[in-house]
Amino acid sequence: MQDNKAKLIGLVVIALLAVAGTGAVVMLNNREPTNQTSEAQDSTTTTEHANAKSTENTGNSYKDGTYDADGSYRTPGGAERVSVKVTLIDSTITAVEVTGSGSGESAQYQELFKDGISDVVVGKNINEIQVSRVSGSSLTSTGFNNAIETIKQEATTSA
Amino acid sequence: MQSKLSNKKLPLPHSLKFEAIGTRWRIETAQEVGAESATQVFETIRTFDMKWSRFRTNSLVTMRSKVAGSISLDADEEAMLLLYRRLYNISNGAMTPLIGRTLADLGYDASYSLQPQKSVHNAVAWDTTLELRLSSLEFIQPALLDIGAAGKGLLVDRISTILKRQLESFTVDAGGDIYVYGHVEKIGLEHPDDISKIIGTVSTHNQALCGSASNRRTWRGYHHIIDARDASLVDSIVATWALSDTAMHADMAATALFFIEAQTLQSVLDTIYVVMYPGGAVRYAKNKEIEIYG
Repeated sequence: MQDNKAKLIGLVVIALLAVAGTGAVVMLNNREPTNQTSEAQDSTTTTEHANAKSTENTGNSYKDGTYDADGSYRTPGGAERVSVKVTLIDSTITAVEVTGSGSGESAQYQELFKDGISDVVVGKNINEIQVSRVSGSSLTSTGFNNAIETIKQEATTSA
Repeated sequence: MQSKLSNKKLPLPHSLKFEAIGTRWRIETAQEVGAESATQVFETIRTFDMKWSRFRTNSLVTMRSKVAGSISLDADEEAMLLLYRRLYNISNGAMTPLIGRTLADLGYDASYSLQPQKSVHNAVAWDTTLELRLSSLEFIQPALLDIGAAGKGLLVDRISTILKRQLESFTVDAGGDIYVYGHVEKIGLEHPDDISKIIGTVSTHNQALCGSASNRRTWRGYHHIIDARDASLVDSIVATWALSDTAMHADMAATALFFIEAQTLQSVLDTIYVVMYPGGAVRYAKNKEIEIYG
């Protein structure tokens, strides 16, 4: 159940999000719980504490223990750094501690785990699903659409 | 896209379709909207537009961008501005109705020039510009307001109030900002990168579902979700949705989710949310009304 691991990593990511105070996502792609490094500008490392209570479960979930994630990520206000300590028992997060810029009450972060998280949502074709209508960004007016058309034409003629 | 969807299962055989305040409206109703109600609906839109639209040269908002003075506020407008002020505080100034000048500078102006100016102004500070009083908004100095984060929702609520007097069941769909009354609708959440797809559904009943994304109102590499403090594009989130009891709340929440972390926002606006990040990760409030295809 590699997926399970991915989910847990997702939770760590969301803990980081909360600290940012604004939307900023740190994606972790490496599914191993040790020495994680993510891609691109946003970097995060996760290391497992060498601790006594590290019992191997069925092999398809995280070991019990405490995990640290150090993250740096960008916000509209600039780069931020934060450390998140997550305690796992039976693959369930039982405690979260956040330190670093924008730190707050632990309780607030525990609250976050009631939220649903999906790593990557691909979506389904609209024809497959019985929906009455869709909601997304607001449809634009004819005036706006015409203006966009004008830009496109200018771009074509000047090219 | 909407025309392809089957509404056969909805008990809403009648509809009014029109364009107003920069988007396409579709009001679907169980019974035909009476002449009196229809008149009130269009009068309500006209009144709102003449007061708040920054895309009209003769609106009150346009006048206040040139001359200081005041705008008198109805109760719902006052509630909207009070909420704007709280969101301004919580977002540390990133979200503000004073974003009008910045958007216009970027080319999203009254004539849709879509031509960014050489220098783009950051939004002016609230306290040196506006004073919110009982039943009025005072302009200490002229400034261009843009209530794009809330105005459409407020208007959906006003129209719904009119329709409720006559109809037992209807849906007001203002270009994707939707209020459902008297029946249940399962509404698809449009994938911001592919409008032939939905990322999930929200079951809506006597509530409003509003969405916001930077994918549609785009020009020359710009879009309309801007951090007011430095006029930068907000690209850390690609789409948001909010379900609330009123469309004004849902509309504001949908925009606010770009600037304010969802749990923090919850302290100000009671809303059920969905947030999509670049790359496709989705975070959402766990709720029986929401299904996400994760």
